[in-house]
Amino acid sequence: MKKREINLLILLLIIVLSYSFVSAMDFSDLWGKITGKVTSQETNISITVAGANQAQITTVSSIPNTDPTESSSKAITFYAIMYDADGVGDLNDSSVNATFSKAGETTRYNSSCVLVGDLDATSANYSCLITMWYWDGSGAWTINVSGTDLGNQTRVYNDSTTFTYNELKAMAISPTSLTWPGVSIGATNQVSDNDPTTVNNTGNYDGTIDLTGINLLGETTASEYIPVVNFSVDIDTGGAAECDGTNLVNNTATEITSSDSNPGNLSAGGGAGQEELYYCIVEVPSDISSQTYSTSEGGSWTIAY
Amino acid sequence: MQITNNKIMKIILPIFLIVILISLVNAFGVSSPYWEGNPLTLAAGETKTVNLNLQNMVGEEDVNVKVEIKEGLEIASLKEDIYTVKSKTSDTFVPLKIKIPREAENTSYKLIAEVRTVTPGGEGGAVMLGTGMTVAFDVLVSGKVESNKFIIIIGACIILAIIIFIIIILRKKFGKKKKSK
Repeated sequence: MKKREINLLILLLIIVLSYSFVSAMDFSDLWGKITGKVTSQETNISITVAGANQAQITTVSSIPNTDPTESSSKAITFYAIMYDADGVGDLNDSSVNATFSKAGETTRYNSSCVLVGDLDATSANYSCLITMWYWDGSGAWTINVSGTDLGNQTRVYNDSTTFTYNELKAMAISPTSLTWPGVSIGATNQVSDNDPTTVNNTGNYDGTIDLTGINLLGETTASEYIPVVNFSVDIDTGGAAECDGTNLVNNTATEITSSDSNPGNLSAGGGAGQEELYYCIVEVPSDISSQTYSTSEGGSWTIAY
Repeated sequence: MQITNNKIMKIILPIFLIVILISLVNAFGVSSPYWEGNPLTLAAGETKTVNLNLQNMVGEEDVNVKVEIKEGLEIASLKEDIYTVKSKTSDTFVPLKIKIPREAENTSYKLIAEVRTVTPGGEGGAVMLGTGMTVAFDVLVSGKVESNKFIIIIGACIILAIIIFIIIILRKKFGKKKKSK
């Protein structure tokens, strides 16, 4: 009996070993396969150390006073330094963004500043580019840079600096000359037949419009003229509404009542960035002769901001 | 169209204001680092050049502009008054030199410069339109600028005092030695 039991045990052992060999088809880790011990091998691992300290935007580079560009945009580049006591490895490089803001104006932003490089073990330098437009208001704009780190993840801000966006007075007018139909001596309320003058504000000036008119001298007899005070300019038209507008003063900048430079995006349409001026000869003098009267001798009129 | 005035019986007297379109658009701009509400602050005796930046980004043609100081001639001056602003440019600078008198402490000046296109009056009857911009800002005068001469004199006095001090100390030392000998 004893011998039988021993033989049975040996047989069972052989079966178990055979099963292990067949199932693995691999004899390299026989001991592990039999005993179930975890296999070991070399492997590369990456560990990110996320620190508990908040990041800080320590420095924002100064931006010099900037001129807007007429009817165009202006790209402004500046730099910011982000610091983390836990090391530059804890800085979230893709989290840095920046804005320019001013009360009453559309905030301009860059949603992703670019890493320029690490300055030392704890600070990195980022480059930001923000586009300003020609109608953005003049004055001090606040520069706000923010970012986060990987560990603490609190977004931190630095809005301690400003820059000055200069004033740009710029316009494009069309047409560049005025016409009237033939008018007769003593006629009243004669409106121009090619107005309005469209005044496009291609800068950021916010204010009224002036017009300097000069008496229209006779091209044959220059001693005769139509006084410019007999002209009226208005932003309204229809039913000779322009004839009760602002009367001009010879060779003097005269503010057109209710006119507005209306700074804005001209491409948006709907009158943004535009003003229209309408003209009327309130009265043609009775004591002048029939001839051509123009600005050729006295000089052109000037529409001004 | 001609309109007849019945009061003048014999002849119809038409006044024609004829159209001559020289160019479709008249455009230019000027930017300034100072404007109404954003004054320039200088010290008495200080001199500064403010650059007005002429731009012509919209027009297809070069523009001639005339710059004229309308107010503030006692402190401001220009080297040239006519500038050509080339089409599609935004960097023609007008240097406006501002010199504050030494005695002008705690006062202010108003500076107005007018920049306008040089627009021909038009041939054959036309009411020509040009464009213009007025650059106006206040110049505030604070303290007095420190004179270089004054700084040099002060510096020379300090150096002289140090030299005298050293000489006195050396004399005292040598005098004691001589006495002890």
